[in-house]
Amino acid sequence: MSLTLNIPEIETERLRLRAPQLSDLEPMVAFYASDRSAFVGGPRDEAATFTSLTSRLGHWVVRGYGLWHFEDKTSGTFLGWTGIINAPGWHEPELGWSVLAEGEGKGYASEAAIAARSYAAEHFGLSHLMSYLAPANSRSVAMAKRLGATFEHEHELLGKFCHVYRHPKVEAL
Amino acid sequence: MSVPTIPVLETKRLVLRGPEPEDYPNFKATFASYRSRFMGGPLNAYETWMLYAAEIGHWNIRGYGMWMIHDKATDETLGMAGGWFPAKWPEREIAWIIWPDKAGKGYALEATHAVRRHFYEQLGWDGAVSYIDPKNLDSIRLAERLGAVKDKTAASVDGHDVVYRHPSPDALRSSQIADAIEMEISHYADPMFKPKGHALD
Repeated sequence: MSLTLNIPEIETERLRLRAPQLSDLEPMVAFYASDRSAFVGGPRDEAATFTSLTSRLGHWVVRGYGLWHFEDKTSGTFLGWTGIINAPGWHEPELGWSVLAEGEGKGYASEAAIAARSYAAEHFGLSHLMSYLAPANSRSVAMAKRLGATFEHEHELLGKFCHVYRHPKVEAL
Repeated sequence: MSVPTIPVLETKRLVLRGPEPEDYPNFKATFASYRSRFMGGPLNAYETWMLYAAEIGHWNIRGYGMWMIHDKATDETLGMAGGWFPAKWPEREIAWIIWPDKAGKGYALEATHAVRRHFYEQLGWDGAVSYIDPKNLDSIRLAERLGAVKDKTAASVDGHDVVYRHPSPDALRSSQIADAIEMEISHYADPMFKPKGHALD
């Protein structure tokens, strides 16, 4: 038997969105050990980070959608992740993203998240997604607003206070 | 990207298949229970779901992982057994867990014996260990019934577990361990010879 693991590749102007892979582990460990992970479930140790990596693949199998890892299309440098998360505790599927220090400040996360959002609308039937954002995560809040998302309501995710931002509905292509 | 092919292993009473989304409820019940106390549990709903997703993803990342153990006759799930190798673990582990209400019938012995043979004969492993909580007496007994011996010199995962080293493929072939395991399994399968004594995995 084989697991149904059909993670599509998406290319944008500068990026390739692809399946998480083992070589991403080291940069992920650095990310989850750093302050950058404070708003997205960190810090995590190496063991928990490995579980994050493997569970992202399992998420695709169980849900049929999940997180892509994105890399620089030319150099192959792994820069971050984006996609749809839907685990127990989530009140609906979420569009999430994180960018590694290497990819900060160049608009990569926006470019990847917009591609993921469009793909989810076209292929997963998820055309009106929301994002959970820690109010203090000013960079991500700013990015959500740039993507056209607006504050919807306050929420609690896994025991942590957060804001729900609603993305514009993606119209049928 | 590569899609892992998970071999189906058959034993006298069991069929081992890769973990499938519909097998989740029994896994969830076990990891919400006290039964999981030696495997990092009990876990909340989010942690349990992520661990199950990680069990699936492990196959993709490592090319091997934990099989779901099914009763050959009824197809119901009984537990899991297979290989486990998270980041920074000293060695590849052979691991097992049996649902609380399915313990005591030798399923873990039968399944683990089969997965170890698969790793040795099909994947060319030259050995393996099991990391066991020293208070988990059932698992220690199972490791010993599989011919594993405590290795005090080997590195443990976090200092709170003991390392049981499985016999090498050669040792397993050239000794009576495998015969003894198969005899014990056949006794579980034949109620006339059901092993006496307290419940074992």
